[in-house]
Amino acid sequence: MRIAIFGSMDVPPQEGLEVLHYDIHNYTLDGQYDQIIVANALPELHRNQVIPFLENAYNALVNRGELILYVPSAEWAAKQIFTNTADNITYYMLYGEEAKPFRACYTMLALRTLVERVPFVVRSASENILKISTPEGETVKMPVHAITAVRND
Amino acid sequence: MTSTSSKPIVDIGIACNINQSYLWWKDVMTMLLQEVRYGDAEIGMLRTVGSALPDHNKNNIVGNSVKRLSLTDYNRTEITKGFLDGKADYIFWMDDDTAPPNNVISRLLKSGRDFIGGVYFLPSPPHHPIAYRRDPETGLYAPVFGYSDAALIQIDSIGFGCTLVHRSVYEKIRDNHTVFVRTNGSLAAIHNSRIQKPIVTRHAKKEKPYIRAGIYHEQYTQQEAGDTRQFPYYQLEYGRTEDHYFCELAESVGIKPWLDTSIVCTHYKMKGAGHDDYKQEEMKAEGLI
Repeated sequence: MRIAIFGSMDVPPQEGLEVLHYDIHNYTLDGQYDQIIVANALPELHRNQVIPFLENAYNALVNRGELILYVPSAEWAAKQIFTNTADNITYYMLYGEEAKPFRACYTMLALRTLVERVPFVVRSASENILKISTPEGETVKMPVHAITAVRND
Repeated sequence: MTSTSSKPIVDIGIACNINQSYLWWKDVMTMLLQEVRYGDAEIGMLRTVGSALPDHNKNNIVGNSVKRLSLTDYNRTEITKGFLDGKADYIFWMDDDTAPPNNVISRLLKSGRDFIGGVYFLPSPPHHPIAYRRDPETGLYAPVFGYSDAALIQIDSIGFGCTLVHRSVYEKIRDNHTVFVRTNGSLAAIHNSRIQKPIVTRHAKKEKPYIRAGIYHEQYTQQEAGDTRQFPYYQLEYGRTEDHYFCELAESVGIKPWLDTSIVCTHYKMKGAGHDDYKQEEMKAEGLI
């Protein structure tokens, strides 16, 4: 099984599992993958780069291969702002960090619409918690949208 | 038997009614016409309770129609029998007061899920979706609340006002359960893995159910061949609606329902209730208004 990962996520090693890490701003997907995981990296792309990226992912997957997306929840962040309870994680979800600024924020509806346009078949679209490490080494929990979609020729 | 058509065949099942608004007709007919003309499914039989079609149309009902005064669980079971005896691949359940959006069947089919529904809401406050998660401690169901629009999530139970079910779900339930008659004469489907032999068809001495050491005991006899009642896929009991019973049967064979919250129906009662009403309640609960 061959997995491509964009963003800072890892998969425990297993026999027969090949895991390849890529930078979402500078990548070449070679060959076919069974799974592509994009963890908290899609917001780094400008809006006009998102569909081309998803199309590249689609073309690089085997038939029935999976795209797994984790993206900060715009709805959750917006509620924090609206209720004056925003904290560091809220601002990170909206704007990213200095080294990796976010160019867009996604509601589930916006994200799912983009994915289905490519045209992936969405198999699940749920809320999840992603544990991320801050530059200070602290682990924080971030509400994310988690979408699993498949290439289905 | 399944279809040989390139598009999957989907029967429409309408099993329950209380109030039917004339507004329902426009939405549902538009949805069905859209599906026939542009959809990815072939519409098979329309299987309804009599009240879902006006009297002068009853002669035109295709499929099996059942009496309107019967309870919803009986209606659903009878409609299911007609569906399973037919050639459709799926049955799309709706109620005669739920109006699903256009292309609903194609969209549900596209998910590739065998048991999946859209959202419709309680017509009165708090307008929660008729879709539930079960508390593993108490076994009680609570409505799904505070979800994202456009989520596609696995849940524990779903209403049958906008739900697509593949025939394999029914077949798997039937093949993995045995039907027994309880002491009150009603039927119960028990998973084969939970049956200890011997199975009996008659008890020498009839005893009333009792509880010993916290365990409920009741005499069950296997349903006899001459008993023409259908497999009990749906049961209104324990103060619960019949959809919970079906969802628990499906879960016992490894299938849980999915909910696509991008598919939103109107639930007609005296007035339409829908997504906007639900959002109002959700925002109130979160202190946003």
